[in-house]
Amino acid sequence: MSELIPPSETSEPIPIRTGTVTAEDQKEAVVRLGSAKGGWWRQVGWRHLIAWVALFFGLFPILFLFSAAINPIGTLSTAQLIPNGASLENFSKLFDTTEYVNWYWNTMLIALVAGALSMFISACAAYAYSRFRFRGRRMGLLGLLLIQMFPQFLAIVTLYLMFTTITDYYPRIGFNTPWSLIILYLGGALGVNTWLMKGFLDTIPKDLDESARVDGATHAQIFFGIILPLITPILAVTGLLGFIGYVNEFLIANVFLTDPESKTLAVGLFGLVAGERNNNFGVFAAGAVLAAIPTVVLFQILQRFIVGGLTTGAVKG
Amino acid sequence: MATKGDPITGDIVFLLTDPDTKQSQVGTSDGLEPLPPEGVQLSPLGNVTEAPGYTVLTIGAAGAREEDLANFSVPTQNGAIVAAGLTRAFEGAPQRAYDQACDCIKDAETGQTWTADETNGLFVDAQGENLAQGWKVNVGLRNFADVVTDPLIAKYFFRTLVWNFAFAALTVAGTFALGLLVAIVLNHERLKGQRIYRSLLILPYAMPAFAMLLLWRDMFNTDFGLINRMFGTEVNWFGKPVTAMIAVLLVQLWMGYPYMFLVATGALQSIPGDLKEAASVDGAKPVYAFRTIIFPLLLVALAPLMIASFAFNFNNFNAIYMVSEGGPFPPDNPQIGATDLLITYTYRLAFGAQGAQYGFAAAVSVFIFLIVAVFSIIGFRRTRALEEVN
Repeated sequence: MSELIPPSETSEPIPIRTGTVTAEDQKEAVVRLGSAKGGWWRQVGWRHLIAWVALFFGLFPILFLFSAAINPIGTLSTAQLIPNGASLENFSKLFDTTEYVNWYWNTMLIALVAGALSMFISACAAYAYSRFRFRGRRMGLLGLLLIQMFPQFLAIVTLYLMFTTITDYYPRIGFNTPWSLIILYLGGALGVNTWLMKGFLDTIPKDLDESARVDGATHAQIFFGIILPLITPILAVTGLLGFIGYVNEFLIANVFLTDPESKTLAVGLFGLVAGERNNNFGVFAAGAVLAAIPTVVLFQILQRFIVGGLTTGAVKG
Repeated sequence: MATKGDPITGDIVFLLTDPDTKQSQVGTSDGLEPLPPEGVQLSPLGNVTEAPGYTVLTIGAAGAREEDLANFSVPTQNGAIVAAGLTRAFEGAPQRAYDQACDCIKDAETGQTWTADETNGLFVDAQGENLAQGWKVNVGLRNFADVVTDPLIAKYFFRTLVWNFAFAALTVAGTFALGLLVAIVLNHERLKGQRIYRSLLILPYAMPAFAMLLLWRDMFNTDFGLINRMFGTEVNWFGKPVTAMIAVLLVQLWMGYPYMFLVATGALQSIPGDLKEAASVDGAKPVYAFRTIIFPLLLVALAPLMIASFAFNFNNFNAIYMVSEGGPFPPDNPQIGATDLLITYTYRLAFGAQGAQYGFAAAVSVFIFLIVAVFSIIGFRRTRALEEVN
């Protein structure tokens, strides 16, 4: 296969280092001798082309969503890729006819609180698994991974029955409250996050803790004072992924939240287009565009952490 | 029909007149009591139009409290009195009742009986038809056995299992291939605008997934959908198994490749440049160097993420439920469609329109768990990720 492609069409050309000796530059010239060197197209142009194709594939549904949101007629059949008119009709309809503000508030409350708490719990668990040696540690780690694979929904019947009783005794954390979901989500938060964080923690030298302990620091001081600041990247990643996961959670929320004003965005917007697909499409699109703002903003801010955080944890298992 | 006190908030009572005896009575939610005849005015039809201490509702006022009226009934010895329209009420008795003597349910009108079946927890009549209500019984391992032995279930269960694997594997492979390709293409130090490309390319991953899944579903709509309009086709995407599968896979490719692009970029950048240099000094052509050096290193770094992604997609409920809803369904089995994953199938068993087969659904869930767990363990063992746990 390698013979079929001339050396000029490299996908990984030899990196050009600044400050190298001339001999090396000459060597590179020798390697490239006889090829159509220096063509902008061959070097980077085609990369732009592929990037544009990938961009189109990635962005056209999002563009369509925007166009549908500002489409004055607001039906699926009239929505175009390129908007043929602009109005805020769909947005005002969204706020007038649905409990959208409540949905938004519920979603943000659940996702922020559950995301932050799950981040903290996972960090505590990861610290213990990474730094302490105790009986059942390996089993515990594997157990976390396996429990994570249990189909979440199987528990729904049981959870439903449990929360029926809880709603009777203490309705503030029962059905139709954000707190019921936050409590539930925390239960399922440990698995993958703990693994990711433990992998990251393992890369932080133990000498740091040990020297602190020699100086008389307690576990709490080590954890909050030394470890937490060092694992900021992975905290950002797990917090962000948790937040996105909770915004998108549908299965449990759909069973637990039935009052119109207690729904989350996922449940509420699903309800908009579940039955009436054509007519409510514009309103749905408007709601989806607004719902995307927090996650997209968070993503762009935390982008640089994501790559490092995910792969560091992954490599170290 | 009247209220005690205020017509909008007061308790509803029925002022009833027996058509035969012309005796008036007051019906409250506690029961019936006679209405003292002083001051009571009757209309020619026998309806009470005035009674001291009560406010008779006008038609408009009664209409406003329609919901309360629908929920209101007066308990009596034989059953209950409920409203039929705004000026009439009737006494009804439950048609079917449990009879302790024969341990069965009797229909008072037709005399039909449904005998309790202790093995299934249902009331069954002579023809084997059962009532919707039942109770909890211990069935041992029967639900597990049903999954494997019932011919109709077994036929579709294994077909679904195969598709479930194909769905998860193709999703991971497709997103990984596309994400890696874009990552390699963009990972070039002289490429301008890398940061902008990157920020835009991860947008699909940052958008709320539930909304985008629903959007894709509507883009595949046969009559109004963007895909058919854009390409001038009239494909009924969710009408045939093959096109429905293509559609859900395409959606997953779109949803997943930005993530793979992100992690592949990170892994590519963490591979030391010396390795590439050494390979080129030794005369390895770039493609060869990529295949033998870079790609294996990438796999080592990304295999755990790919296994995790496989396990996630194996149970990717939203991806199917929100896009194709499991359809299209074969004519002989409306329970399990062509694009159903085991988890959407199980969801339908437990919460679908066909009744609540919680026990059977739970059995299928345990099977799902075992399958995913076994494959993940094998996968982790092969990548030796677990052996690094120290």
